[in-house]
Amino acid sequence: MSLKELTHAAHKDAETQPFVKILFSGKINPKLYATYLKNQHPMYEILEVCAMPHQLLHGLIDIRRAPKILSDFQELWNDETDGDPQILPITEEYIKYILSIKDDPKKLMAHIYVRHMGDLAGGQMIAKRVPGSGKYYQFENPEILKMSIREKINDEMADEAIVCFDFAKRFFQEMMELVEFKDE
Amino acid sequence: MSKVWDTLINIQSLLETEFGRTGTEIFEPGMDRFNQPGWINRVWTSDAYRRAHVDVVDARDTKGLWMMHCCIFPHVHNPAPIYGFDVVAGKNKMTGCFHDFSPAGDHFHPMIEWFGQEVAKLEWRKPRALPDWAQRIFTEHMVAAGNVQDETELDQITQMARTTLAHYLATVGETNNTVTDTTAFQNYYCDNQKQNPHTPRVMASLGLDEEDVRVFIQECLFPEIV
Repeated sequence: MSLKELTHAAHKDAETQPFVKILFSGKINPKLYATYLKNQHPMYEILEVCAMPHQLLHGLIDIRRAPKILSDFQELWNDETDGDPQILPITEEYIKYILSIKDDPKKLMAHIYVRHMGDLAGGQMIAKRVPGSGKYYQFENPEILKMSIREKINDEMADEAIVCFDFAKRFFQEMMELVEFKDE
Repeated sequence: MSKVWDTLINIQSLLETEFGRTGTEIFEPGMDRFNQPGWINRVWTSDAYRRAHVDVVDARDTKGLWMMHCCIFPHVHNPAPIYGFDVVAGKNKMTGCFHDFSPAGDHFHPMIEWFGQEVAKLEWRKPRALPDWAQRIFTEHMVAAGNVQDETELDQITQMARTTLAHYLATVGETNNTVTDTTAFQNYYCDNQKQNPHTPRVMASLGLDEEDVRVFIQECLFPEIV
């Protein structure tokens, strides 16, 4: 079985969360989406920073997402009028988790597979439906990058990829609580 | 949305992409201390060049500032110049942008002459008085700009970065193995760069730890060959 098949159930579980439907709806509140970006930014930043010393990003042209996510956030958020966006508990938990595996390149690569490959696939559909210019989803050459990521992954990464999908699921769940809170 | 930051992040992507295309990323001992959220350091090497380093401090969110340093050193059997590109920017303007092909063994190297002709086209480039340490290592062609916010100038800086990087990477290997050893020239460059009082000040203003900055400048930003 391939890594994709081995992680299929966890992937499905994450992508069918109600918040993902909101992302795809084309109607997400810009401030809610900005809060989503504000939480994604430190998660990507810590992952990409920890991946660098292991040369995991080498050959992955235009892989870095964290600076672009921050640009997208800043496009949608006005510090003076909007205050501080909420940082979710899952974001803090993920940062701590990535730091706990920072010396394990295989585990880190599994997270890059889940996150960055996801941005290259489903992310491209979200790009057209969210507010702002969506630099997060713009890649220089998506097909070559997908191929280059595939060259760095293997089936042994399945367990860790499932851990990452589980974090994604819980992140979507916490984002959904913000939706429900705002609706009250 | 910041046109200035977007322009510079695109230049960062260009540098990382080109080094990824032409070289192999390496992990230098001690550099992990300076890879942390908001501060990244990546180093590549290739047959054509000895060390290409990209250092970015992304303090857009915390200090409203973004800084990048990029330096490419040739191999020590090559008298080609050292490529330097430094920029500090707020949301609406580049407060400082410096770029040079600095001598490292041959003051009349064809790449330096090419650089002089190329940047002479930039109308906004203004000569400025340089401190002693800078006069010792930079050429008279050095590009120094401040308070850049005009969109045309931003586009010109992007174009300049693309053109000079492409030329440097395409030609730096041509004079490999034409001299015995340029170590002293490269160390001279590093030694003088370390005397730039603005570097630690700017990095501290970005919120970095002072001791981290001191060690970083000495050992990672301008490492001398021993």
